[in-house]
Amino acid sequence: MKEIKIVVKNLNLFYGEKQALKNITLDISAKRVTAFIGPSGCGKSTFLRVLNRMNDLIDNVKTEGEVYIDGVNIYDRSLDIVNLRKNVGMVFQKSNLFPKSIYENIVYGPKINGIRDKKLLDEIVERTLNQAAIWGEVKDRLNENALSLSGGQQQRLCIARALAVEPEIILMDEPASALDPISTAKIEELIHDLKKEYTIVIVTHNMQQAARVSDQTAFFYLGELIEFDRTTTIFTKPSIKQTEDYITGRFG
Amino acid sequence: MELKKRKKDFTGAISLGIVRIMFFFLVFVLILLLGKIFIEGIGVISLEFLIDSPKDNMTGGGIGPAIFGTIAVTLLMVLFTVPLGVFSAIYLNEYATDTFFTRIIRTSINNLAGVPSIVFGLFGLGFFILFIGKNLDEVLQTGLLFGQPALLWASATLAVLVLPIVIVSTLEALNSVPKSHRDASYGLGATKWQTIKNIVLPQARPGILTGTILAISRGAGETAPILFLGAAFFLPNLPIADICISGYCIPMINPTEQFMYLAYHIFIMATQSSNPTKTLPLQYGSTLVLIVLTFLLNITAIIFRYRFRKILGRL
Amino acid sequence: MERLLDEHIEKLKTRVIKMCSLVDEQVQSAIKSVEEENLELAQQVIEKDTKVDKYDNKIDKICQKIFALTQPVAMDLRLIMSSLTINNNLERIGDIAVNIAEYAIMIKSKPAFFNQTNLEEMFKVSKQMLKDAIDAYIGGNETLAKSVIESDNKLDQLNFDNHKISIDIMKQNPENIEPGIALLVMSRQLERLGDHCTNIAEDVFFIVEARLIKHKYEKYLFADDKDDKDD
Repeated sequence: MKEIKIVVKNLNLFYGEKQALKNITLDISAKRVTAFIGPSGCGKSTFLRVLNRMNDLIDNVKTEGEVYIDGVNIYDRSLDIVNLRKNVGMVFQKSNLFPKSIYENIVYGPKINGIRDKKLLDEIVERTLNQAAIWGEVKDRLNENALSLSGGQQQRLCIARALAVEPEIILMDEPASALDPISTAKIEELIHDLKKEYTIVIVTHNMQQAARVSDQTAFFYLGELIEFDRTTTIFTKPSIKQTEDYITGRFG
Repeated sequence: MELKKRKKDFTGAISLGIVRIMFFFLVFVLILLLGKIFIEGIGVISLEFLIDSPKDNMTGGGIGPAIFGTIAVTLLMVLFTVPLGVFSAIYLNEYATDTFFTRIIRTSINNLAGVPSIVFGLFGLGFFILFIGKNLDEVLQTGLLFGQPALLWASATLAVLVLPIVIVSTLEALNSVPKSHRDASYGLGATKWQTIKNIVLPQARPGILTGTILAISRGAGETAPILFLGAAFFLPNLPIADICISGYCIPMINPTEQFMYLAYHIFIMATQSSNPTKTLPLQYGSTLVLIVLTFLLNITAIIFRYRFRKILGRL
Repeated sequence: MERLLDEHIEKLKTRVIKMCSLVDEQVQSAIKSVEEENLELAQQVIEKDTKVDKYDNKIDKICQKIFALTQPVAMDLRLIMSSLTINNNLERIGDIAVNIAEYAIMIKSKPAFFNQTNLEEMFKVSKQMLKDAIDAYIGGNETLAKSVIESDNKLDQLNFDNHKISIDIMKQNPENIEPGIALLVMSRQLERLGDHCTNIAEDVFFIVEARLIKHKYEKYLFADDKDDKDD
């Protein structure tokens, strides 16, 4: 029996006058990978950022509707947003590591949450770097500047950094789009491992990646959710013609 | 495939030529200026010159007190202006919403830079000395302590004068921190202030220091604002007071005293000395010292900036 | 929007249709060679089989190319997968045509008891089944496909009856044994031809509705593997 982690009901989002998301309703299952696909500008990244309220940082954005994570409406006025973002981590398209050492990058999250004990921090660093499958490569140079790593390594480090605050959900916005094929494959492998413990939502413009990596896929177009189903179904017999046209490359 | 012969780029060559000429002209003027000052002034420089007080109606002795005064005033000015400027910039950039009001404030800050420095002097006199100083004296019952020209008010006034420089530099530095870094910090569950303190400010440090360097250079060379704020023609003593705690006394700068100031001193020697010919070498020497002093004050800031840049990996 | 894939798919469809018509022709000729005792025609059928094999390879090749170079999904995927299976079935049907032609040469002329068997009827039914299966596939015609699947029962029955009939005939006279066995084998071949036509018809449902109805389980909906988690 599938456990539902995130419930979205009638979500609408406006950038000023322009409506970017129209009446989105869907359920995201726990400990699965859900992919959002769709052509550029369809709203998939915007919708991703609804889930950890990152859109709040943009001026002029109005969000209406309900988003429940583990039964709690995260758009309730009384919700602690800082705590929300601890539980819903995010990995961005281009690596945005801080210009600090590898060690400092990882412990930034735990430190601002109050963890000071060096031993504990060391453990967190080793644990998350292992989870991100990069421990072996960097364990001898934790004090080096994080930006000295290669692109693929940097992204894995970003993932480790996000894991350090122990989220339950990880949002990924086109995490491999700036990487070479081998690094991309490594990231995909990583996602496959991580889904045993975490709920993962990934936005990708690469359909084959969505097909490889996800259990469920949602197809967005012009701000609307067109179809949402198991990935195998979407890619072998989608119910809606628009979906079929998109995945077979007839538009977009 | 037809490979064309390289065509001469006339426009490019001419532009490059003009730029080169201008550059060499600039270097030439700089060498001329600094060279003259150096040549004429180096003869006067000696240890006594740097430490002694002026003697014989400015025609002899040294400029020690003026050096001391310049350093003291400039340091105090930096202490006032940098925190005030940085936090103002942080508020404007990170917290304030973009309204008509804030836009007016930004424009005003930029316009401040165009105000003649003598106006600042008058402002300092009227506001700091006659208003704040006098009222402070009344409230603290200190007689005539704060309500008169003093190091404190000179530094404060110079701080206001250079404030736009610091604010603008800081604003630029804050803006140069990529949005992606802020996003990353928020994404990890940081509050706005945590993000500013841990991510934005450290990355803005080089820019802030640049602003500080510019502020020091401007402040150390100003004469007009401090004319009636405490710069003295001649003082027998340095503005120092001893702070004593249970028998142990530490000499500290006394901000309520008047002071001598290099830039002012040069002005005095040039315009009000009894024997301009005799003081001419001293003027050159003092100017040379002022330039070197400004440079040394800046070097500290430059060294810090270098270290910060290295940490950030921008080197 | 014209896709790179469309070019390949057009090529594939052309080849499949050509294969269909080629094999149809082979079966018609083979049966005719028995009915009319035309040994020359039979020989032609045997020789033309190399062409059938050639097309078999060509179709396999283009499917392989499409899989390797593009990532076909949904409808495209089903079309290509079914092209491979229909190709397979057609090639087998081609082999059946050759077998029939070979037996035609062996018996040289229709034995006297020919009309006592069901072969005449089986010839008619199987030719029709093949024609319908091909039309159903090309036209995506599910109704026609359904009728092909139903006809197979009839063909099976005819073949079954032929067993008894042939055995009785062979018991009557030892001279009948050789031709009798030949006709029996021919009957079996035709029954298998019917099976292949049924396979082709079943693929129609796969392409059009992504329904797998192989092995006569008509309500067998598209099922996911046991590998997929729960649900």
